[in-house]
Formats: sequence, C-alpha cells, structure tokens
Amino acid sequence: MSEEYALELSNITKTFPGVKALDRVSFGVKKGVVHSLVGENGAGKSTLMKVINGMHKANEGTVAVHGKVVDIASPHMAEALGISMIFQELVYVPGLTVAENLCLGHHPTTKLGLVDWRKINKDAQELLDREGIHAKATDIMGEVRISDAQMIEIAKAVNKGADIVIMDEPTSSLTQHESETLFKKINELRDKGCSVIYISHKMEEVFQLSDYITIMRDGQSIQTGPISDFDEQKVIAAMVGREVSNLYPEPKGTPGEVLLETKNLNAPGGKGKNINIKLRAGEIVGMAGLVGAGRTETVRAICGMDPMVSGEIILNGKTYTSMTIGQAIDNGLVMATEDRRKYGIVACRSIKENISLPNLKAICKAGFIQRKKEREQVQIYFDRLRIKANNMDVDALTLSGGNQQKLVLAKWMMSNPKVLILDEPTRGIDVGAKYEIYELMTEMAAAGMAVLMISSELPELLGMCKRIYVMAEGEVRGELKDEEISQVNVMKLATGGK
Amino acid sequence: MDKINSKNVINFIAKYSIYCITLLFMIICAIVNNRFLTLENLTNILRQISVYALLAFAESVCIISGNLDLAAASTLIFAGCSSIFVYVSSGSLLLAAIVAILLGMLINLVSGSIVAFLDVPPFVATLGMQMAVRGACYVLTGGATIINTGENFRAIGQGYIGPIPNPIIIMIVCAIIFWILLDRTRLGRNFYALGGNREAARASGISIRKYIILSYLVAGAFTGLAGIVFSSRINAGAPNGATGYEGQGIAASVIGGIGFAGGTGNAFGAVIGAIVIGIINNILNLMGVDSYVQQIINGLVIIVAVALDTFTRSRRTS
Repeated sequence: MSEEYALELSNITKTFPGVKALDRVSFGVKKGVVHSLVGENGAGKSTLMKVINGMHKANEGTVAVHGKVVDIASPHMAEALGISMIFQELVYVPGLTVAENLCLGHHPTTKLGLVDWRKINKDAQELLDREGIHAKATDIMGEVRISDAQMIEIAKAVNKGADIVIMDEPTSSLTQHESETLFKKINELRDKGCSVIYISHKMEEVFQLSDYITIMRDGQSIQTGPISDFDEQKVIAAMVGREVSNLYPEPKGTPGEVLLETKNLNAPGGKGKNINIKLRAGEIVGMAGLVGAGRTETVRAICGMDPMVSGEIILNGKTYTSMTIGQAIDNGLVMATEDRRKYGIVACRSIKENISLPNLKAICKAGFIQRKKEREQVQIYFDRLRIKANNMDVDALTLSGGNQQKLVLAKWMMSNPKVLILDEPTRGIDVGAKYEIYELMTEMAAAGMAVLMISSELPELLGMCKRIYVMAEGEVRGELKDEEISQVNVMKLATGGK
Repeated sequence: MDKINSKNVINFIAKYSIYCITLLFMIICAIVNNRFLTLENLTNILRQISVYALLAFAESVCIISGNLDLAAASTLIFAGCSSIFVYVSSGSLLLAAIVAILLGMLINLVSGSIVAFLDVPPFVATLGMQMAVRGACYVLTGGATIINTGENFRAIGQGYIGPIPNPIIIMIVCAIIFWILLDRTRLGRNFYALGGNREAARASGISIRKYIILSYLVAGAFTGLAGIVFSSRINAGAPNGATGYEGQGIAASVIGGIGFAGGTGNAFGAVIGAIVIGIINNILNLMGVDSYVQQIINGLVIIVAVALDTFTRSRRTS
C-alpha cells in the first residue's frame, strides 16, 4: 500500500443477486488532487462510491485509507476515517433551519442539558460567513437555494474534518455561474490537501477541474491516468466503448407557422414577467438563464401546471387567458418536467401504464381500456425510444435516469403533441442516452412539432438550437438567433446586462 | 427464461406471498382442528367475511388512490339502518338496497369533498366523519336498536340462491365488478396514478379533486351495500354496531397486498385479505379462544401486515 494515496481500492468485486456490479476494480486517489470518475449510468460508479462510503460491503478486494487497510462497515465509520459523500440528491431536513441541519445529531447543550440554541446559531453563522455562503443560520433549509444548500453540505463535511470528499454530480442542478463558485470551492479543498472524487457527466467540468481521471464501463475500470493524457473524444469513446463522432445531431426541420405564442404572460410570484415568446413548427428553441431566472415557472404557467396571473396564450390560433393542464394536453401542448421522479413517472406502476396514463382517453371505449390497442400503441413508443427494460410490464422505478426520461418522452410522444416543452431534458443522463434524446428532439421537430428546451448546460443549447431566449430575473432579456448565439452573448444576457 | 436466483425468488415470494401464506395457513388450521376443513365451516367463513370483504373493497379504493376512510363503519350502519326504514315503508328489498348504496355514496361525497376541496388530510377528515356519522346513526334510530325490520328483510343476509348463501354471491359479484373497475377501466388506472404519484398524475392531466371524490364515491357504494348486508344478517338496525369494522377492512386490504403508500395492489388481494381475516377469526372460535383475546390477536395481525408491507417494499426498491 502506497503512502501517497489518500484512498486506494484494490480488486473490489461487488455482486448483487444476478448482477456483477463491480468486477475487480482498482482505484487509487492521491492526496490533494481532484480525481474524476466518469462512466455511463449503470457503469458502477455509484456502487463503487457506496463501497467507499460504507453503504455496501464488497465481496472481494481491499480498501486502504492513507495506506492502512480498513473495513468500512457503515457511513458512520467512513465519516470517522475522514470520508464524506455529497449526494446528488442532497440529504437534509427541509423543515429545520440551516443551523439545525448543520448540527443534526450532535446538538450542543447548555449546562442544564438543554439545547444551546445561541451557540448553534452563532457557530453556524460563523461557518456560513467563513465559507462565503449567502444564507442565514436561521433560514429554513427547504427555502435555501439548491446551490447554497450544496455549499452548506460541503462546509458541513469539511467542518467535520473530512479529507476525502466524494461529489456525485454536484452541478446537475446548478447553473454555470453557481458551478463556477463550486469549482472555486473544490480548488480550495484541493489546495488544503483534500482529495476530491468528482463524478460528473459533463466533460467540460471534468477537464476543467481534474488532475486525474478514471473511466468505468460495465462494472470495470477501463482506463485511468492523469487528465493530460486524455481528450474529450477519447474519454467518451472509452465510456461508451465505441467512437462517437457527433455530440449533436444535424437539425432537420425548417421553421413553419407559429404554433404557440404568449402575450405579456405573467407567471405567479413574479417569476415570469410579461413573457412574449413564439414557437414555430419544426423548430427547436432554447431557453437559457441562471437557476432562479424564472424559466421553469414561466413554462409551468404556459402549460397550466401553475395558474397564469395575466396575459394571453395563443395556441393553434386560439387565444386563452387561462390554461389548465387538461386543456393544454388536449390541445397538444405538453411538458416534460425537470423533476422526473416528482412529476414525470408513477414509480410503482409499470412502464406500460405510465406511457398510456395521459393517453387513456384515446385507448378507452366508454371508459373501458382496450387492452390490445393499448399494448400495440405503447409497444410502438417503447420500441421507438429504445427504453432499456425486459418488457413494458416492469415497474418504472427499476429504470435508470436516462430510461425514465425516455419513458416520460414516450408518454408525451404518444399523445401526438404539437408543442413540446422540455425542462432540462438531459439532466443526470449519460452521454449515450443524451445523444438519443437529442436525436428524438430533432426527429420530433422534423415531424413538424415545436420544441422548447430549457437547459442550464450551455453547450447543449448551443448545439441544438438556432434560436434561444435568455431569461433573467423573471424577464426574457433577449432573443439570440443563428450567428448571434454564443456562450458569451448568452451569459451577458443571463447575468443581467439589460 | 428467467434465471432462478435469490432475487427472483424474493420477488416471486413478494408477489405471491399472500397466496402461499393463506394456503399454508389453511393447512395448519386443518391439522390443528378437524372441523376446519368441512364444507359447512368453509361456507361459514365465506358468509362471515362478506361484510369485511365489501369494506375491504371500499378501503382498497381509498388506499390505492392515496386516501383512507375511517368513517366506513359508521357509514355502513347509517346506510343499514336507513335501508330498514325504506324496506319497512316500501316493502321493496331492491329499493332498500339502492337507498343504502346511494346513502353510502352521499356520505362519502361529503368526506371526499372535505379531502379534495378543503385539503384536510384523509385521516383527519374521515376521523371526524366517523364520529359525526355515528352520531347521526343515534339520531336516526333514537338511540335504540331497530327490531321491527318488516317481513323478510333478512332475506339478503340470510337467504340462499340454490345452495349458496346470498352474502357470498353479493361478495363474488362485487369482487368481479371491483376487479374490472381497477384493472380494465380508465377510472381504475387514474386511481392507481393518483395514489402512486399525485403530482405526476396531475401533470398528466388528471383532475386530482375529481378523482379523489370519485374514489370516495366508489368506496361509498361498497360501504352502503355492506350496510344492508350487515343489517339483514343480524336482522336489526343497531346504531352502535360494526364498531371497528373499518379496521378490519383496512387490515384485509393491506394483508392482501394493497400497499399502504398507495398505487399498488388489486381486487384479488382484497378478497384474499378478507379470507385470511375470516380464517383467523374462525380458527380462534373453533379452538374456543376467548373473544377478548381474539381482539388482541386481530390488532397484532394488522400491525404485522403493515410491517410486512413496509419491509417488502423497502427490499424491492433498494
């Protein structure tokens, strides 16, 4: 066991009933480096991290921390060894204050044995100030912005003395700007001598941040080495096991008539102010902006997910001053939400039932389901979207993130929409599946649909859209077309340049 | 062909566990008591569970849709007592049954509206209704048991068609209707979606309020019917009767695999759950176990059933 490694895994094998999730994986992380771990969903990254974090026990192989072989039996032991994991889905109690969350499980007490609130709040505020986090100790955690919550989580880990920090897709819900703040933090951690294991699907970040990279595929460590030995193409090829020539498909459609138009639309809570946008048939339009710019709120109001406050929506030539979800769907205006688990799928029901859910009217006769028709129709979309599952009768919860997203797309495609709104369609999805989703979007546009795509990943907006609306502070700050579209121009509008 | 491995075995057992347990249970009962496996006793069990089964259907609809009805027993009695009055004044059993069903639906329309429009949690809304409707039962009957049920009111609960007791026929017909409703109709699908993920159901264009109320209405129809069957079986209108029956209905549902979290389970499960409860009561009776002790056992059965439900759920999702 080498001393220079903060963490060294040797020949880790982990089998679950029926699956070999990890197959003799060796993985060493040096002291004071950022080490990226990439691979498609299901490649074994999360399982490997759970072995490190003590949530899974490896069947074979050893784990050494700072040169000493250890048996990490629980997350608690991992913490004691200085290993801390920041999950993709942050774990906190939303109803408690920031300070309470920071000291959860070890409340300091006064001499009388009562909880010492003054100390809790004071310590918490000091920590927040020291780390430059814009939140108050007494703020309710659930109301703090996701990016701040993440910073708090990291601060908490480091405060506990963690020197090996695992981050699982930390930027999946952050904007470019917030990501930059996170990157600064990560660099700080590295400079302090911490080792950061960084899991991400975003190649840009991986290359910007890492010193080392390990690529996993099918439960095995495929390649590992200093980041300078790699380039994006090489990493992606290793991840998917084949050469990938294009990151984005060629657009096919030509813009036609206007299918959806909003006039001075106002979303609730001032999150969308006097929105005027137009979507044409055959077009993929982008919507950029920082998190909190009001993009999601705006499209939710357009689709009837939240009631619009004022303004008009013109859909297929008809003017609406209010819109319900049912009306929207019946008129071919549908939306795939950012939060798939919450709004997209009914996890405990089958793929088939999920896909037919918004389309039951069409496959029912007098309220009775025509089972053969349902099966045939659903099969078409199940096949067309290449959802990876044994059959369409398995529960939706068994699907990976990418396949859940395909499931959501399948159900809306089956409803034969005219206008499709996608909120962060590729969030948390691996490279291979991303390309498939881009291809589907292009196909749909080519078939005459109007597609509006919200994304916090600028490269994908730049790659997919010929027209981009940029939002900031609840307003559409500008519309960029063709040659005007560039990272700089988008960011200029998004960060407030009026 | 699926490979046989421990995960498949776990899934298989989780899926069919209730059938295996029921079978095993019956074998044990047959060994313990030689009167158990007689045609007479088995018919008896089915007749005794008919009311539980109808209540299990009512609770199942609610639970599958992510709701609950704690007022079911009160509603049952209110509908049952009212049906006696209708029968006595009209002489028509059919009319009495229709009124019982409609009253069940009416009371549940109130419960459903409270849940849907006032956003009161189902537990609280129906707990309140449980007390209020029970009070209404006493007001309706003047607090006394109705003994004058007219001639032949008992036909529904005590009569036969051929060799088969009426309550069993009613139960089987309702089970088939319930199964079709859950498995083969848009209404059923929407109930599952509502209980499985309310937000996703809403985002798919399903009117949440409408389907909450519809779920209560369907449940109310079963409860109302259970009311007339119950009153007819005892051939009386007892305003203090059927206390705690909603618990039996909920227990039967959960034992039968209708997940307490909503969105899962089916009609067969509710029937099997009611049968399991019936068998437990029956074998305890046959063995001469004290009725107070029986209550303790019934309580424990409910807790074990829900604990098992939670356990298998966490096993399958992890």
